[in-house]
Amino acid sequence: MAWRFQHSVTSVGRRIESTASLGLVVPGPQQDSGILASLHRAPGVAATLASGLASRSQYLWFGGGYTRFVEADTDRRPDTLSWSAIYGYRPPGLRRDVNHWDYRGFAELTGEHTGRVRSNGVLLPDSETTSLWLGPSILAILKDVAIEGGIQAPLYRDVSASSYRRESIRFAINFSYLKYSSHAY
Amino acid sequence: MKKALALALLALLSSVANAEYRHVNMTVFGMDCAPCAHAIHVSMKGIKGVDMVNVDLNTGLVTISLVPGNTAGMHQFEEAVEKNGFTHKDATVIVRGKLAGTATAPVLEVVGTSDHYALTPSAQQPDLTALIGKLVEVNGLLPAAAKGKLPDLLRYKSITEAQ
Repeated sequence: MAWRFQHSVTSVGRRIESTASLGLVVPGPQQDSGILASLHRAPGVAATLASGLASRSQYLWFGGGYTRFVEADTDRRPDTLSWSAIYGYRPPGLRRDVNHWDYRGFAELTGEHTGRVRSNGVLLPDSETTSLWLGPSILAILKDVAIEGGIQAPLYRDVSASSYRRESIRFAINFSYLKYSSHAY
Repeated sequence: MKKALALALLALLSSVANAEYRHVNMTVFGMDCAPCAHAIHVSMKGIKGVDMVNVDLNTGLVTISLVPGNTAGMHQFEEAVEKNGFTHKDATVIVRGKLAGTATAPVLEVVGTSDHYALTPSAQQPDLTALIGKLVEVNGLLPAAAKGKLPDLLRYKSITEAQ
């Protein structure tokens, strides 16, 4: 659920906007590692706030979020505070019309702080983490289909090696279908 | 007498049927990407009577052609822009309607819609006396109005009796 609470259109192809969102986080089939692997899993809620500039050539975006999980059998995954700063660029040759793939590249700086893990009703010592990540991503959209891929490496990590497995790289690929409304009258 | 009345009624119905927007070229602010253009394209095509839509992202120009006999109103085009999160600015239009008012204060009524505009010339004012009460075709500019409102004024470049 998202709410665009601020919207300012400044010129052809350019706007500034801010959006808040609230979502449900549901554990998937992927097995966790380290101290998270032994926890009973439960869903959580994630709230985010993002604000930035979009234009035909450049994008600049800042965001932050907070995720809190429900307790399951005296276990609870850590609260997570996250933040991001994104710069995007679309080269002149790729500023094309609606019938072509729309590409843009981003440099994404993200960070997160996770709180202490609760296991069997006890807050585990040395289970807090702080990390900062940087990497490129590419977004391609054609009409109602979007594909995005990105990879990140750590710039800074304050993570207990005994509690968590070493995470040296992060990557993601997202496929989206965009539903447009015709607003038929 | 009956024949004359029937002819008058036929002429009136004919005028009503031909009062419509023919072309609308609207400048839209805020579209940064191809999906923005696609959203506008889909919304405009959803308006009954719209024939062709073209969106130029680099100029922000949305070009709309309409089929003869349509009853699409200006608020529908503006709403299609606003509902997608963008802002409409000036629009140039080719529109047919009944010329009402007086020669010095002409008003264009786009019969079949609720749209009516006070007409003002963009250059020297021609004598419109002979056109009052007739179906005319106007080529002009609708300045941007506040969100949710239609402009009151149409600055015309040309005004001719509709064929």
